[in-house]
Amino acid sequence: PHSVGALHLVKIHQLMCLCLTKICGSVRTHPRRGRYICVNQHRGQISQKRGEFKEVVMEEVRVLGLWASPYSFRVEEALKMKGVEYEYAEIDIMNKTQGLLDCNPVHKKVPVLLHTGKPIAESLVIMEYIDQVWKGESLLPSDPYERAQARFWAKFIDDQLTPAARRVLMGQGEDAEKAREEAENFLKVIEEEIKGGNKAFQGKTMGYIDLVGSVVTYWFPVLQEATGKELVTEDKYPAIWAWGERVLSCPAIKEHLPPWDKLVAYFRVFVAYLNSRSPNS
Amino acid sequence: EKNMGGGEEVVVLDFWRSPYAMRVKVALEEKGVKYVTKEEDLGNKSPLLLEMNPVHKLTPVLIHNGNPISESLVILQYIDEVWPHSSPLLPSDPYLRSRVRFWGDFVDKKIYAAAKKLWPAKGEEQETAKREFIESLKLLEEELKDGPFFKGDKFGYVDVALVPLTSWFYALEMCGNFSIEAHCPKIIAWAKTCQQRESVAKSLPHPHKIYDYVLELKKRLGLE
Repeated sequence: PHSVGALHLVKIHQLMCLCLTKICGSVRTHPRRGRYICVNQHRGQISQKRGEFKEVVMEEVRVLGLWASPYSFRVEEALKMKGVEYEYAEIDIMNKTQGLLDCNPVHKKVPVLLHTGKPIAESLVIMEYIDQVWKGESLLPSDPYERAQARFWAKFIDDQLTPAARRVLMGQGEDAEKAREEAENFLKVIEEEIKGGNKAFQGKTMGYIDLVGSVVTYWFPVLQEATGKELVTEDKYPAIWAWGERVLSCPAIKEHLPPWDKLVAYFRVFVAYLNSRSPNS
Repeated sequence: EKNMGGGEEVVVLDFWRSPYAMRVKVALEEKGVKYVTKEEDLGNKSPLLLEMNPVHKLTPVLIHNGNPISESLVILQYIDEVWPHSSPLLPSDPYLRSRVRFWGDFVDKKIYAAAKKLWPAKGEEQETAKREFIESLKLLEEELKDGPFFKGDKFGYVDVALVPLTSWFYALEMCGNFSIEAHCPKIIAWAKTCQQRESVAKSLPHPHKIYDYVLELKKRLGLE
């Protein structure tokens, strides 16, 4: 029998360290340690509140996500493209009643995919998993060389471009300006690749790199509007812009993207919070 | 099965001190693929390197039949896919594959990143880097519980990702004044097991050579 006091809480980024089957996956709040995922193996029941018991339905495919996160979006969209039914649970980083919570590694560890209870973290890893497990429209190219190219550009976008762009758009002062040159150089690289006809960006069907790239083609402009800073514009980067137009006008993607106004409002608050916490960051 | 038929050209743009380049060499050795290395001087980059990796202008680059691939972990996956018949690096089960990819990424983002900060730093900065390095290594160490290697009894992707850094362990310990074995004995035991593999022995330089290089670099950069 399960008791509330005996919850085994695990930081989301440590999920992968454990050999788990059939975990609960619900998000709990520990009074001291903050938000965690419950990794108890409940036998059919879970207590939400003291004294209240609910039947737990162990969905085969579950996404723990954040509606405003580009990483969460990629994973959900990948599942939708494959026609996979899944249950979505929102990890509420911004607790409205308590004010904004600390966003640290947990933010980066959203989303998590739970497949028959097994957790998979890191959006790029999840997308490879999805592509391997579910047949249907291929996310990644089938040719090994083209696959390597797609992986390279995804890493470039995630590990090089996005951190620099975040500093520009979400940072302040000197650090933001220093990062600008870096970010613009990275954007130029991608612009040249697309202009040069690099096949990785030219897929006829929506795929891996288009989903990964939505952080550049949708989220960067959102942040630009939220903070009043400029980075990716049509006249500076026409090829990137055109890529974005092509991807974002695709009916399925358009329907599933988080709404522009809501997202802008979210990031306005989020960035203000970040800057109020540490003026030098 | 050795590398298939005539006409395959495999070139590695190499840099003897780069643990990333060592990964590629270990993988090719494991697969029994014939390859040629071209040593790059990163202080004086060759036109070939600039052409084959215009984005980062860094080693390693794998050039397969004239096609360049960059980013060592991307290269490892490519090698595994193109030469699947010998010594698979990644498991075929999707879930196990995802775990292995996750840990590969972890090795880069946590362990290598901390190591890079460790050797040139001093004082409080170095203590922080040391802490990060050891904590990340300890977390990874737990993955060794099922066998001599990270995947159990087979040498694979995560082993290839981490093993080159072992050639840097001596330099890190000397610069940071600490013992890795004291904190992570299983990692050191694993490193010794890996050293017995021909692929590793061939591809990694002697740790003292790395240390000599680090000392020289520190002097040049005025970091003593």
